[in-house]
Amino acid sequence: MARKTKENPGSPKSKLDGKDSRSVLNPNGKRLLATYMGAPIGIAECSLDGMYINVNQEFCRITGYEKGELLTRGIKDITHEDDYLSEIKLHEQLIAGEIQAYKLEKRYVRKDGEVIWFRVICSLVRDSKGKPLHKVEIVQDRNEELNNLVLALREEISEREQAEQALRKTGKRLRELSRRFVEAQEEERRALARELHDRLGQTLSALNLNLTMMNGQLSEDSKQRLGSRLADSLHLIAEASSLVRNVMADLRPAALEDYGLEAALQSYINEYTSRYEIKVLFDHASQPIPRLGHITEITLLRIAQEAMTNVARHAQADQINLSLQREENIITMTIQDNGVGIPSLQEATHPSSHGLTFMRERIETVGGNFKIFSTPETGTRVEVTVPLENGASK
Amino acid sequence: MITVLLVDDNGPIRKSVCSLLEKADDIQVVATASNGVDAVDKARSYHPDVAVMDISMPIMDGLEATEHIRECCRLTRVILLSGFDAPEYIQRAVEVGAKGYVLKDAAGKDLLEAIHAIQQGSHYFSEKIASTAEKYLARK
Repeated sequence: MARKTKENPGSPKSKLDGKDSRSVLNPNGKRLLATYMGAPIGIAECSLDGMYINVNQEFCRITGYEKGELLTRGIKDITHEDDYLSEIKLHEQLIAGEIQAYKLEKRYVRKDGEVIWFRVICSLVRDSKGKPLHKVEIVQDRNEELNNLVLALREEISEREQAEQALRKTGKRLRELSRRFVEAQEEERRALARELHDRLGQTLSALNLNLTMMNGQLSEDSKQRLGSRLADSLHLIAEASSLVRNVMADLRPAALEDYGLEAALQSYINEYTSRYEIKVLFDHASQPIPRLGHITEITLLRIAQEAMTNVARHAQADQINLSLQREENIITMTIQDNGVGIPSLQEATHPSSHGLTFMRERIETVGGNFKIFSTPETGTRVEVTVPLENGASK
Repeated sequence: MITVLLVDDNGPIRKSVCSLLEKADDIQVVATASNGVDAVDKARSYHPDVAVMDISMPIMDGLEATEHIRECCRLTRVILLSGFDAPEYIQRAVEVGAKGYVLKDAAGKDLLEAIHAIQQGSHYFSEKIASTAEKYLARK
């Protein structure tokens, strides 16, 4: 496409060129000229080689050029370079008569450098013999439409962001509430354990001492009459003390508070192996695990207890591998058994299945993750991870 | 006469243990205390031969109090008297220098024997925890 910097002497002169034609136009022509010039839509006429030969006021406003400036410019001069090639192809097809008109959404580069979007409709004006004279370009400003679209999109994005933020807040609040619930539950358990220790446990110990002393002071005659009953009573007290200790250990694992998670897990394993015929191999952390904060530690211990109780109840396993490892800032605890697996993992992981839901919800309260894998061949593996900084801060 | 400081935060236990100890002709309870801080103070004042010490107590627990007593009253030997039988407690008891560890359930049977044994310079541990304690003593 030729490009000329001055008015193109070879181009046909527009009949609607106000400067030269006004004086010779009849009233209809004048009205048509006024309509053309004052139309609230941009109209431009181009020569076949792409130079502007006439433009109306709206086209001038849109492009930011004076009419005189536009008449020394062509399509290429004010079209964004990324859109020019696609337009020139359509322009050539139009002149060749391959298409009757074309529509295009394109960017103009205004005189002040601003890039603006327009919808352009072009068609060819021919003489009575069908020879192409010039091209008419109707330009519809899309910026307002696009701006509205952008505004609507922004509004939608903002609404979506607000909704997401609200959702995040709700999630955070839920986790916080769950954490507080767990804290309250553990505090209540601790208080109950203290009561058991301070009142019932100590009273039983005192009773044991007193009966032992009485036993030592009985005369031979009394021993014959009361000895076996006294021995029974001492036996009952020993049983009650043992029961209280077990309940206390469950409510408030003393080793956890005083010596940390590994000691508490070992203590639980000792108790577990004395109760069930299941071997437990404890793979200790290769990297030292710092104290994780009470709630994280009790959460991991409770999950290990729950998982191991499930093994004893359902898995028909004879071995558990319990592993507690630290890799950089992640603590991973896995409980793997060699049992028959879970028949329906889908059913077991359903929210109504309390055991697995309990484990999942508990670990999520401290920002951790829960996974379970189960097959009849490999048994069941429960895996929980907790970020160290999270755990250590709570 | 073996002088004893008895430390337990539970009144009935103190009373029962006191009665048990006073049955022995050669033992005299010279003072009692109900927490670790009180126990250290009483040990400084009375210099007992033996302190019979509970573990779980308010203000200062028996393990920490034992450590302090071992520093300030080197001749006082400490027997821990506790319901806890977890290995961690036994290990810690050995580490802080307790000479004996008697489980509360076995106190009627073991405590007098324990006091006499440590007064003779031996260690004494209730049967249930003896093997654990020996393991930690061997490491010390």
